[in-house]
Amino acid sequence: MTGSVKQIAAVARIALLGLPSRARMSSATVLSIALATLVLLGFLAMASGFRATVAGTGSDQSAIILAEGSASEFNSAIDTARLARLDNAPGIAAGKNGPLLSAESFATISAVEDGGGESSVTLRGMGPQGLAVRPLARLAGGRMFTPGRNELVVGSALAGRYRDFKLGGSVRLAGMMWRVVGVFEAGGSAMESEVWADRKLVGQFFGSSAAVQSVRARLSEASALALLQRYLAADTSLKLVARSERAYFAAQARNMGKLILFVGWPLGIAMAVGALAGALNTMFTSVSTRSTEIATLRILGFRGPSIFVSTMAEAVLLVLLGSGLGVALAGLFLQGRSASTIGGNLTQVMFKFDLAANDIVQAVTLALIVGVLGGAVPAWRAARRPLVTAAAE
Amino acid sequence: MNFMQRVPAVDNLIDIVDLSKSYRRGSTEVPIFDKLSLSIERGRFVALMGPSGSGKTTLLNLLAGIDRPNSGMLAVDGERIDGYSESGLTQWRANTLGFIFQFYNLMPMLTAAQNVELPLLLHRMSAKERRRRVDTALDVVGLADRARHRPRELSGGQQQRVAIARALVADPKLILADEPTGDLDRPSANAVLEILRLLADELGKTIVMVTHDPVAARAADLTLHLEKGRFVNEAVAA
Repeated sequence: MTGSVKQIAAVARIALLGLPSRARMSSATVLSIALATLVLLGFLAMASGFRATVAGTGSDQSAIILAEGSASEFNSAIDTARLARLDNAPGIAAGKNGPLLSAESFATISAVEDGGGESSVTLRGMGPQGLAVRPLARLAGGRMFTPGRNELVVGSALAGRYRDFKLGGSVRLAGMMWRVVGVFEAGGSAMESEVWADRKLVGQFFGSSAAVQSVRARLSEASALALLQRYLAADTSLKLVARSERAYFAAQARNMGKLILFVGWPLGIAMAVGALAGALNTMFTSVSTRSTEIATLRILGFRGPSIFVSTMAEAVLLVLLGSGLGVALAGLFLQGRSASTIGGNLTQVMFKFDLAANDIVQAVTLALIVGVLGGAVPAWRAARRPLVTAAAE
Repeated sequence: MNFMQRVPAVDNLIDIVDLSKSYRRGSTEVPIFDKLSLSIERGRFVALMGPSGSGKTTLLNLLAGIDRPNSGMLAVDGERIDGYSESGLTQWRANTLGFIFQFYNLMPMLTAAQNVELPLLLHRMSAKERRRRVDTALDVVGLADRARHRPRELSGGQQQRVAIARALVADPKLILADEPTGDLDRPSANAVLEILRLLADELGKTIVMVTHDPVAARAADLTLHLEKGRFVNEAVAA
């Protein structure tokens, strides 16, 4: 070891061995950093989980057609006259009963959870081809609804959580009883947070039957999307646009993910600023408590930079302990935990917290910034304080 | 010892010529010394006495390179330190000085041996050599069997002896002691003074000790009395 490294190691050792004598202040800093890390990680994991869930909803084999200028199904409206003209559109796969198209509209309904709470759920009205146009979806139990009947097919995320949506059960909606005849799975995507029913009934009882909000189309192949897009662009009277289901949901996920982060980062940073105040206080107290020790070392011949680095080492160690604790708590209590949020269409989307490595890196980086800022000023003060003043104490 | 000598002599370890020091207190300049001169020969054990505010601690701080004079010359072993920068003084202290504090100033979390080893970490030296020197220093102060004890497991007198071993271990030319017996009972103080006496007599160390204790001062070769920044008389040990 070189002289400087030996000096730093020796002073850092003294500082760290002395931590137990400053346990209360140090623990408070560790806890405040852990809390800030936990909160930030909570939001990051929520955004990651939400993005993964919603982005996984789409397929390249399927297209979603919306009214021109609409960012989502929520604010799109397609009248039935335009619907008929889509039957001849190119690029759409053919089924037994014609092109695989499903005109769809949705409504928001209230449902009772197993725990007794009530929340909003998307009721999607779809055509008979609704399942066939969704490559990711499959029936996990029961059967598809029969057109014209008050029957529901529910996503598996809802079936497991809502007493109203158990297979074989019934639920009162719009003053009528509806029977749950099937449960579908869709690879854990946001689709599993929907309830499906016949589009005409949904239009009749929950909205307008003269218009739909979107048309879902199964493409003959992924590259056929371009054909469909050219067709829609060429007929300016249609005023419709198509994009792949995957691109559509990825955009939706980005927006919602951004919204979560828009709340999460400022909150995380606000808590980090609080933790910074704690860290500064702890380090100033530490330097103050150690003033005799630091003065002694400097009188013995230990240089200012080694005092600075060792004081910083203490601050960095505290934030690493704090952020490590925060990560551990997040892993223990958040990772894989189910949650739900109100989606872009004001309905509930269920997803799992997904603690990604990148999220951990971001949270630990924020904690380290807190540690460096919280340690630098006290460390500088400790290293540069006039020795004659320090020695007099 | 040649007390007022102005020309540095070859066998002097400390040469102070026309040293002035003052502190600013608000808008007032408070003088501590004005043109103070002093020389101390190598291997001498000198006690500095005087009432509070006489300037003895300031003089010790100047000798230690902890404080800097306003003017004048301050040389130790022929090396002028009055113009050194902060980092130059730090390096100089590591190479030249051993310091003994009134309240020992040991690191409570380190063992006696680890405390004594601290100054050696400032020098290029193998771990084996450091160990050998630490053992020797602890042996000199009679605490070889307490090497693994932490300060709280030692009496005040023993802690001060560990501090002396720490001041001695890097083989400095000059040892400064700030009231080394001020916190000790008489038997412990006597043991400490005996060791300091031995360092001067057997190892040839030059020692400057600030003390209020006349008994402690009698252990020195010479006692210098400071009053209002001036030496008023000197007493040579019988």
